[in-house]
Parts: sequence; C-alpha cells; structure tokens
Amino acid sequence: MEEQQHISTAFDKDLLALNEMVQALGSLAIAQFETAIDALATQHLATLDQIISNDAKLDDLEAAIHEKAVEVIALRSPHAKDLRQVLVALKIATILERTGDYARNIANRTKVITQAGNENIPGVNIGRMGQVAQEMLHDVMRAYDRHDAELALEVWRRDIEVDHMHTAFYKEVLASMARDPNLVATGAHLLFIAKNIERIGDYATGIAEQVHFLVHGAVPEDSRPKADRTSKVVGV
Amino acid sequence: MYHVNWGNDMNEHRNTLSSSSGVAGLYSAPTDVRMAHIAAGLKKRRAASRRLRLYGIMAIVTAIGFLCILLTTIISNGYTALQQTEVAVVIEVPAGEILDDTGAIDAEKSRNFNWAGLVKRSFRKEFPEVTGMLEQRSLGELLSANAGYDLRLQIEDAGVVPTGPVTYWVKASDDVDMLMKGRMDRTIDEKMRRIKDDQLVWFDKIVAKDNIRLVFNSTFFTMADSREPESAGVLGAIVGSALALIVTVVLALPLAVMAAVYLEYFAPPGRLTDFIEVNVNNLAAVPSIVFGLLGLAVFLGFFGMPRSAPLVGGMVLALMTLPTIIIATRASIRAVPSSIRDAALGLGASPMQTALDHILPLAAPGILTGTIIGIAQALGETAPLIMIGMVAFIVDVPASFTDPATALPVQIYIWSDSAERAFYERSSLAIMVLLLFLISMNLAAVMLRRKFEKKW
Amino acid sequence: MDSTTKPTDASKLKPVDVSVFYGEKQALYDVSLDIDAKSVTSFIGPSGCGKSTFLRCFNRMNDVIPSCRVEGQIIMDDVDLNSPKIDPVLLRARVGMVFQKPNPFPKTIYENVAYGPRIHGLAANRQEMDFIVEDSLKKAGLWKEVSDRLNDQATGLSGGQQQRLCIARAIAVGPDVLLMDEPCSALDPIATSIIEELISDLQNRFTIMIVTHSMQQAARVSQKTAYFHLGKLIEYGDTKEIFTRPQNEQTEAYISGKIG
Repeated sequence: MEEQQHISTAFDKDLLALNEMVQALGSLAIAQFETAIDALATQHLATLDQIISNDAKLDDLEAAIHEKAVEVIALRSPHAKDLRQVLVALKIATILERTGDYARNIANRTKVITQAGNENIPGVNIGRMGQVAQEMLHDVMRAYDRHDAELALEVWRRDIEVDHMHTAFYKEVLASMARDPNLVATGAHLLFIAKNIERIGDYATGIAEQVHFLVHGAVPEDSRPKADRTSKVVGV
Repeated sequence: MYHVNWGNDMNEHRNTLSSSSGVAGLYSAPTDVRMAHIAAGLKKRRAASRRLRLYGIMAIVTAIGFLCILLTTIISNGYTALQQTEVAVVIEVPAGEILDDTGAIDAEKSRNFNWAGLVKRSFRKEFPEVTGMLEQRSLGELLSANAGYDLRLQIEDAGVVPTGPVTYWVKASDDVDMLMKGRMDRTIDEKMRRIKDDQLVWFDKIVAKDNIRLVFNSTFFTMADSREPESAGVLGAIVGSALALIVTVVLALPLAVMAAVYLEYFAPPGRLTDFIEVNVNNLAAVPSIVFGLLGLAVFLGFFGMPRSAPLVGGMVLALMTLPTIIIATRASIRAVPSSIRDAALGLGASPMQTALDHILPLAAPGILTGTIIGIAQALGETAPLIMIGMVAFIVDVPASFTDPATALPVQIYIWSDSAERAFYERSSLAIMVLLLFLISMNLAAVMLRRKFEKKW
Repeated sequence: MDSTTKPTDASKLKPVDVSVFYGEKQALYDVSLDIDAKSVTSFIGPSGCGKSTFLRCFNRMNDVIPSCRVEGQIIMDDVDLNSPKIDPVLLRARVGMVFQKPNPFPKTIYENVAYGPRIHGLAANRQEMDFIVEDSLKKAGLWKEVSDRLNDQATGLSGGQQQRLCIARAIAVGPDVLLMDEPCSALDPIATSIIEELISDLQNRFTIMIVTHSMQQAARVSQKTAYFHLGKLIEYGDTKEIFTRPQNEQTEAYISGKIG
C-alpha cells in the first residue's frame, strides 16, 4: 500500500491485522471452493467430508473479523478511507463466509450424488464454470489487497461469462433430464450446484463493488451487465 | 446620515414571538421602524459622549495648568540660586605669618591667622573715602562673613602664598547677592530695606569697576548647612537622606518580601490571617507623622538611640514603607501564574524552594518597582523625620549612620522658614533638586517595569 | 503497541474508599479501583465529575488547596499514600504530573529538565546531569528537535513541544507513575496525536493515569477506563469493553453523547 502511515502506530497495526484476517478468510473460502469443484470430478468422499467440516473455521474467522472491525471503529474513530476500509472489510467478510457456505453446499450435494452412485451427466461444462468463478475470486481478492479498482471493475464485468455458461448449462441439463428420467435426481442437484457457482460469481462482483467503494468512495455507477436468462427458460 | 436597508428577515421571528407572548412596542416593530428609532437616538448619545470628552479634557487641562504654575513658580524662584555673587578684592597675604621655615603653609599658623580681618582691611583700601568705625563696619557687611575663611581655603588649596598684591574673588554677602540678582527692591524706603543707601552707593561703585561677578554656585552642592546663605549647601542633607534611605531599603525590603511570601503561601486561612491582612492594608494609609511619634517614643525614648541619626530616620521610614512594599510584592506574586507553582510542586519542590527558585525571580520586577516607588515616597517625607529630630542645624556632612544629620525635605523646610531672602531662593533650588530625584526614581521604576514585563 | 491486548500486571495502585471534601461540599464519593502497573488508565466523565480531583489525590496536590480534605486510602507498594506520615515532597519524586496547559519554567530547555533532578540531588556532576537531560528528552521524543538548542528559552517552543518538554521534565526525576491531567486539551490534533503515540511508548516504563474529556482519546490511548459522574465511579473496566458494550446505562449514555 502506498498510503502514508498514521501517527499512531497502533492504528496502523489494527488496520493491517484486519486486512490480513480478511485475506486469510478469502484464501480459506477460495480453497474450499476449489476443492469442492475438484471433488465434483473426483467424487472423493473423504475430501468432501473435510470441506464440510472446514466450514466451521470460516464462520469463526468471520466472527473474529466482525469483532475486530467493531473494536477498530469504537476505539480508533476512523474517518474517510480508514472508515471505508473497516466497513468494506466487514462486508467482504460476510460475502466470503457465504461463499464458503455455498462451497459447502456444493460439497454436500456432490456427496449425495456420489453416494447415490449416479454417473455424471455427460458433456458437462460445470468444471469450466467453476474455474471462471474461481479466477474471479482470486483476482478480486488481489484487487482488494492492492486497492486496485481497475482490476476490480474488470472482474465485475467478467461475471457475464459465468451467467452465459450458467444459462447454457441449465438448458443442457434440462435437455438431458427430459431425455433420460433416471438422470432427474442428479440433474436436479447439478442445477443447484450450478446455481451456487453462479451465485459465487455474483459474490465476486459484490466484492469488486466494495473494492471500488473503498478506493473511490462510491460503488460503480453503471449497472452491471447481466446475462442470466435461466429464469426465462420455459421449455427445452 | 445614510439610510441602510437592513432587510426584514427578523420580522417574522419577532412577529411570531409578539403574537404568542403579547409583547408590543419597538421590539416587534418591523426592522425599518426600529432602525429609524435607533438612528434618531444616536444624536443624543453622540452629544453626551462629546460632552464627556470635553469634561475630561478640561480636567486634564486644569491639572496640567496647576502643575505648570507650580513648576514655573519654583523654577523662577530657584534658578538664580545656581549662581553666587563674588567680589574682587586685592589682597596681599603676609607670607611670613603663614609659612613655616621650609616655605610650606603651616596649618597651625594658618588657623590662627586673622583672615577675616585681612580681607576687610584689603577691601577698605578700595574705598579710602570711608572712614569711621560704623561706616567701615557697614562697608564690611558687603562681603560675606565667611569671606576670610574662603580666602584661607583658596590659599591652602593652592599651597603657595603669592608675593605681592593679588586679586582674589571672595563671596559677597547674601544681601549683595540678592541685590545683584535683582531680587531686592531698591526703590522702597530705606528703613524697610536690608541694604542701606550708603551700601547702595558702594555697590554701584563696585559694579562700575567691574569688580563683581556671578559664578556657578558650587557651594550649594558641595557644602552642608550654614548660618550664612552664601555658604550653605545641600550636600549634608543629601547625604543624610541617602544614609537614611539605605537603612530603609536594607530593613524594609527583606522584611516586606518575607512577610508577603508568608501571607501568600504559608499563612493558614483564618481569622488571624485576615486580621493581619486588613491591618497591613490600613497601615499604608496611616499619616506619616504617626510613625514619627512611634519612632520618638520607641526608638529614641525606649531604646535610647541617638537623636537626628539617619539610622533612626531610616528605621522610621522603613516602617512607613513596609506596607507599600508588602502590597506590591503580594500583587507581583499573585501575577505569577499558578501553573508555574503547580509545575514546581509537582516535581517535588518544597514550598520554600518553589518560592525562592521560581516565584520570587518572576515577581522580582514588580517587587523592584514597588520598592522604588516606596523609596521615592520616603524620600519626600518630612513630618516623621522632624519628630525624631532630624531637623537640627547640622553644619557637617554626616559620615556615618549615627552622626547627626538632616534630610533634604527637612532642609527645605528649615530654609523656607528663615528670614533671609537668599535662603528662600536656595530652598526653591533644593526643591528642584528633590523633584529631580523623585522624577528620576519614578522614571527608573517605569523603565524597569517595561523592560522586565513578561507576557504570559 | 496494541492498546487492547495488554496482559494485566499486578495492580500498582489501589485507591480504597477515597472521598474528597472541599469544605463542607463532597466532591468524590468512596472511589475504589485497582490501577494496573505499566499500563494506561483513563478517567473520563463530564465536567465537574471529580476526575481531576481524583487524579490529584495520587500525588497529594490536593494538599495545596487549603479547604480540601481527602479521606480513604491509596495503597502503593503496601504504603498508604494518604497518610499524614507520608512526605508529599518525597511522594512527588515517585509520582510525576503533567498539566493541562503546558507550563515550562521561563528558563532554558536544559534547565527545565534539570530542575527536578537537581533539587532531589540525582546528579553528582555535570556529566551525569547532561546524561539525565538527554535521556529524558529522548524518552519524551523531543531530543532530535532540541538537541542543538538546549540553551534556548523553553517558552520559544511550540505548544506541542512545550508539553513534551513538560513530560521530559516529569520523567527526569525517575518516577514510577505519571499523572496526566488533560495533557492534550490545549494542543492541535497533530500535536495531540504525537503525544498520544508518546504515551503508547511510555507505558512500557511507567504506570500512566490520564484524565481526558475526549472519549476518543481515552479509547485510543488507554487499556482501562473509569467513568465518573458527579463524584461517583460509575464503571471501570477494559477500554474495549467500555466502548463497545458498557454494562452501565449511564456509561452508555455518556459515551453515546446522550448526556453532558
């Protein structure tokens, strides 16, 4: 960070600590998600269980960030960018924790699919979608670390890819389910998993908006291009 | 007068007020009406303040006027005392009766020699027409009675006795002095004059021959009091005053400062301390003659100290000045911010260390100013010094604190009482000297205060 | 130094049932606390609540006010500071004080710092005194700014520098405890921040008690906070707790700016 230091070294230390905690939560959440996407393919039960049990750590870390943010506000009376930094940390922590929850959900549903012994539906793009969402998270957390609003905006716009992929996947799964009624159960889970990934993509844009707010003092003005047409799908 | 549009913004506010509380009158009137009323009243107010200024100026002019009259009177009476009339006399000093075997002046012989007679005889030679004892005595009265002593001093200072007749300048008598300076009215009846007609004739002759001159009256500044005005000076009085004031400062300053420090810092609050404080303030207003009575009764009567001594005078003046210095010291101490005292105490300084290391050095300028003002007051005090006897006729300059002495204001009082006109002009000059001292002391006080004044 | 996660040492000062009277009027009612050693404790509260009066009990400055009477005990190292047997002059060499308005003596910078050690005889010669002065000025964060002008008048320094000089002067005597009575209220925000940072450094060496009318300052600077109101101690606890979840309603009201 290129900013000046506060006269109070304790203040600097507090803000640094807060930042590191959010980064740690980010790394954890991304790791959870990564592992969940991989496990979709490998269907390794032990890994899936681990993802599910790790989620408690994210909850604890989010609570700690919350506590720390309250402390910094109460004791340091931050203003201007410092204040935005604390508020943004709070918001991003919440988003990351929910991202972790979605990762856990994906793991849960993958577990069900695995245990049911269903095969994966062929021609599935879900890994690719997960990849894009993962990259978005990586990049946006890097943008947060560097206070880089340009990078954040770029991630913000990238979400449209995820939306496109989601719409396509949605139609594919529906088609598959229509063709083979045995695949309906798996298909249903897959639809939810895809939805979760799409939501994670949205969360990444939420983080991007927060980074923009941190740097410029306002969320991006233009409305984000959205391309999720799944709610409009009527038939196959 | 110009009209300003003040606007009507306050009107709404005021109208609401007046309607809710029923207040009528100018307060709730619209702005223009109110401003017009105020403008109308402005004329009267300006006239009143102009009048006040006028009264102030008149008061100042009156005060300055009286001051000018005072100074003019004194100066016009006294400036001539700066000069002394001398008469030229051709005298041949008989060396044989003065010198010893080696040719130096023999002190014993000089003391025994009749100098006055020599001067008179020499003087008479200039007026061969004057015969008869009465006339000759009258002639002799033109010269100072101490002319012979003056001549002796001149010869002894020179150390040699010139051979042959030499012109010496000796002091004229005080009547001639007054005549010379134009202070004696020649036109009034002879019986009312101190210079008789025959003396006037001789005087004119001397003037015609240019044997008379006015010189700077150094006697006034180098000699003590004398019966003859022309030999009288204020040196004795100045030294007496100086000695008394030294005693005053040495006694009053430490006592007053310590008393003030005690009252400010150490005195326990209570009836006794209040009582002391009230009395200190009252003492400053006690008439000075009361202190004189105190000195007379206690110092002279009870302790048997020497009368007329500067020591006793100084002690009496010290008592008088004590309250002034105590009050000035307390004010200076209070002017030192309490934060300094807190800081010193907070570091673990004892109250005494705090007072000595910090408070007194900072209060010193104020204490000094108060002391100088107190001394200036004491310098001009007459009544108490008269009471303790510093009013005697002292011809020697006092050499120690216990020698009899007189003080300058007392000297002025003594002289102004005497019959000789010459003493009157000398007392005016002495007043000028006293005023000069007072003004310079007050100036010193003002300058010191300006120099050391600290801005907190 | 993180102002929140300080391990509390043994208690250094223990006021027990301290009450202060000005004549008949009672200004402080039975205050009892435990002050932690080598940490910063702040006293907050509205004007006239008795916090400055309480602070002055610790170095017996209330003795200077004639009508003031202090009851109760103040225990430090098993000794009651309030007992008449204790000499205030000795006590003030162990408990130093910094005042609201910077009050350097109208002397040189060197003389200001040297005065305390001099009257207590702490320096045997000039070299030792030089060392004490330099060390104190360094600890007060002022050495760099004044090392080349020690013989200049102290009154020529800026407000913030003067206050740091007063801090140096107080610590030159080598006290265990530093009392600060609203030390920043006469200073601008930058000078205030500098002094607050200095206090963070000083707390490693001294037990510091600070009276402040700025709650934000108390929040920034202290580990423990005591809230006073009308002469009574209302709440005392960790600064973090007081400012995020005070237990007493009155404390909450004061901190949120709902009462004086």
